Amino acid sequence: MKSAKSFKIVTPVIMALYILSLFSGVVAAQATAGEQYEKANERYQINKDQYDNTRKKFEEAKDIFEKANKQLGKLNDEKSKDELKQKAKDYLMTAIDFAQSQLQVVKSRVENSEKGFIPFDAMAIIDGQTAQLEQLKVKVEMANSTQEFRDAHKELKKIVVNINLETRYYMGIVFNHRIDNFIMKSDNVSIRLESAIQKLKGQGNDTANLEKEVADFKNAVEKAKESQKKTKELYANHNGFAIDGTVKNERDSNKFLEQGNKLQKETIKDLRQAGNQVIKFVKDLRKLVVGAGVATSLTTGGVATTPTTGEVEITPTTGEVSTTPTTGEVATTPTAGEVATTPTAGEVSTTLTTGGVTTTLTTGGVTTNLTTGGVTTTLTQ
Amino acid sequence: MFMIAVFTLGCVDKNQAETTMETSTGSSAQTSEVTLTPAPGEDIFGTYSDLAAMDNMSQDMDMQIALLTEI
Repeated sequence: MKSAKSFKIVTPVIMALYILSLFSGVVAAQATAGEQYEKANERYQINKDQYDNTRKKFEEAKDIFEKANKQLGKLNDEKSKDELKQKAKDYLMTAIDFAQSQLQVVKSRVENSEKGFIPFDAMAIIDGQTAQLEQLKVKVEMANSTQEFRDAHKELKKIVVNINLETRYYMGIVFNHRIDNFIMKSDNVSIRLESAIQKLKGQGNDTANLEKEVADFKNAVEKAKESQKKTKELYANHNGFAIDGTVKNERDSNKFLEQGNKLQKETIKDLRQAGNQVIKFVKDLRKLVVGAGVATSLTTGGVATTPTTGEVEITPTTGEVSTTPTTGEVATTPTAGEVATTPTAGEVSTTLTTGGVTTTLTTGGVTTNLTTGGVTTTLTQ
Repeated sequence: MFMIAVFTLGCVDKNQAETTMETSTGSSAQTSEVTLTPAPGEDIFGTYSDLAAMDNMSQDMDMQIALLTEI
């Protein structure tokens, strides 16, 4: 039974190692979130949940006030006026809470992103607006007359206009940076996919499907690069925004953000297409590897195999894969609200030798030798 | 590392030869393109998770506070 279990685990593992070995220098995407990332993500999620809660309360209070205003607004008795003022106060307070929670979400995004690519102090602007909202909250708490509530509402509107525009602007910059990272990674992925095809071709496999998928992948990435270039030109001019990141012209800034948003959506659409091609590639690659066949038989205490052309021979003992990071990999640092992607450390380094693949690792590692028409994998202790 | 390779590549599975094209609608409210969902272990380059994270971020970009015109 123990041998049967070993067989079930080891054979697919060998296939997985073989697939990995095709992508020279690439690493399996393991979500190895560090402690810092975990904390950042936790903070972001708390802020996002708070945003959703405050939005719900705000929408309810706004609705209640609108209805009350229609019913009670024209009445002159004290009771109706007091009731309406209370509902106005509730609406204003929930609106301020909602605005503050939006700022906290954006703050999470900005402070957890890679430093230095936002060319102004976004955090200072966010903190400044948070302070303004706190002061306004005190005014609303102390307000008694209808005029005071109206004045507070006017002041809130001015702050909110800036918040709505400026937060979209910072997020747009962060988003552009994320897109740039993805495009850079895609160029790296493209090289890996082509390298894998060459190795498979060298082994006599039909790679027509895979080649088409890589071609479609590259086309999608090229389209994304074109729209991203236009987006970055727009952001370089940042119409309607001052150099310090604040709004200087509401209409111009709104127009710039709408144009930028439209282009970013186009870019994401193309990158999604590219991502789909990678998934198709890996799925088809798996089918190809399985189709090549793995012949194994079970013997007491281990697995013995009879290698034939195109088959995998394994002589397993306990052991481990030791890894050495290679240069040229794009390391993405996960930011709040996202899943960690390609880790920086830990990958299989492969050396393609004539007639085969040799994966060389340190003591206690895996030596993989590709023999003519097959793969020999020796797990050593 | 050995066991991580086993599980993250999703290879402890009898039926790994039978892969299906799972599809899901993009999570962004603005787009309706179909995103293929990788089976366990197929997101080798992390592209799928990167795109999911960007979808998440694009939703945050649409945050807006809609106040009443006047009170």
